[in-house]
Amino acid sequence: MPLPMYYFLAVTAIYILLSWSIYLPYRVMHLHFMSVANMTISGYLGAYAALSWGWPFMLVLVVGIVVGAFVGWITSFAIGDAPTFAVVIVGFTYIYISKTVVENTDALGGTLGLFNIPSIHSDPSTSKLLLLIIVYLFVILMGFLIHRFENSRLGRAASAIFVDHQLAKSFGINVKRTGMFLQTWSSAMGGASGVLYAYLMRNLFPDFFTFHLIGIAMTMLFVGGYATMWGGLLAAPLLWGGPLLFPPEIASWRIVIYGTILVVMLVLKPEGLITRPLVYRIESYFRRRRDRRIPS
Amino acid sequence: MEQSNTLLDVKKLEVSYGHVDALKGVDVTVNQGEIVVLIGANGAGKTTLLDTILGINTPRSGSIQYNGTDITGRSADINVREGLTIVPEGRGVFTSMTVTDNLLLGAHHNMHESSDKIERVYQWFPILKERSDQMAGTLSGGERQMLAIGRALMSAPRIILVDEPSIGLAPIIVNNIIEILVNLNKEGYTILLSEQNAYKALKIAHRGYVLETGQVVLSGTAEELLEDPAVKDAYLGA
Repeated sequence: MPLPMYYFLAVTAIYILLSWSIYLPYRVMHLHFMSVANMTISGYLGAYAALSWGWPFMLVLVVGIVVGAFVGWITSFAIGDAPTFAVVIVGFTYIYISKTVVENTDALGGTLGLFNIPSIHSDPSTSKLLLLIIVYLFVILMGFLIHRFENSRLGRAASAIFVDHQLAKSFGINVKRTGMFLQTWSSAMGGASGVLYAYLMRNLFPDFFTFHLIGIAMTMLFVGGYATMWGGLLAAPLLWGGPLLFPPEIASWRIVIYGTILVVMLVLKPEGLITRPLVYRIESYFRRRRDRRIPS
Repeated sequence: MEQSNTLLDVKKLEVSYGHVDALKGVDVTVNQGEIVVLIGANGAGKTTLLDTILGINTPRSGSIQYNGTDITGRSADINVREGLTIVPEGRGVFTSMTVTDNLLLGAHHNMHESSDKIERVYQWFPILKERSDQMAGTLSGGERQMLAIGRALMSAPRIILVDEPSIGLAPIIVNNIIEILVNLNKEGYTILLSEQNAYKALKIAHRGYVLETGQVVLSGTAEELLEDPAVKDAYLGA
């Protein structure tokens, strides 16, 4: 596989996961940026474990997910039903702390980062292909789980909390527990994204895990559509892949382009490209077609 | 004997929002099988009382006994599970969700036999069955009120707190909604109804309370309140 294609597919998958990890808590109106901090924590922890202790990839991945989930779960006791701005501030704080710790820890490579993270196979080409398959299997698994969640009682509860959390409480919905669940899930996905990114790139730099990563993920979420899981899936390849086609002098203005697109979308189509009614219409169309095929 | 019939017993309930006292020692009793109406102007404390009974607000003092158990300050999710439910003011339907999803929200705490529950709601409100796949935002005001009542029924309640069901509805629709509440009561549901349309509410109620600035200023049977000169003067336009 050509190297540019590999990086396009690899980074697209990471951005899909990252945008979903922000999408999930946003279902209850939480802009939960801890997934970026958990990417840093689990990514570096995993890379260090692989380099220093020789842990195999699967163990690193599982530990990365568990650590991410644990950090998210513990924090969610405090912010599971907090106002949006409080959740945002906690997320920023975690990002700042985790980046500072990494930059000041020699064992983690400091500001230079960690290099030569092991491949998962002795043959580099096979390793890349295997890794891509694993990453996309993980994306499919997460997509399936999120889709199941959307159509579950928890998904309906999250929709109700998003609109009016006081009203949601009056139906017996436990707002805090729902928020905790989604924040924990989001953090676990952040942890997984960190480990997968470390293995895909085989190096980690603290500068990657900063606020610009939040900007990119948020642009993907809000341009694609924050009300359904399909928004991130559509926007990640478009927004990440699109600038790759630009000439180098324009590509370096990527963040400015993202920002402009985000502002334009928020003004013209605040719900993003893929809205909930649109998904509902498409689902209804296929349901009707299926029903017509089944003889009565 | 009387005690065993009491489903809800609110005593000396005080609720405040910051420095503003919304309820100042309210006493309300609802017996099994009754329709009890709360009458009062805007800001009298009717919605605050219903929300506090359900567990959305935390009282400063006083007590709420439900079915013989002290539920003061207990969270709404437990209270709904135990058979309390609310039809909120302004209907509170989720416009970007389908009618079916709105109904299923009502059974959030217990999805067991939810399809049977939905069928029962559709028997009550056949129009909702026709609209089941439509977004709730496409329903008329009366249909939304039916949806809100249907959603409350989905939680298999023992007592339904109904907050201002007639607000924003045409008189003929209000009559339909009132009739629905009477029929629900005949089916065995206990109803605590907050309503500004005092005449219509008292006509169907067993008993009533008049709230003014967070206090019960008058209570009695519906007939007594309908004949009370102060009620007539203030709420019945006589």
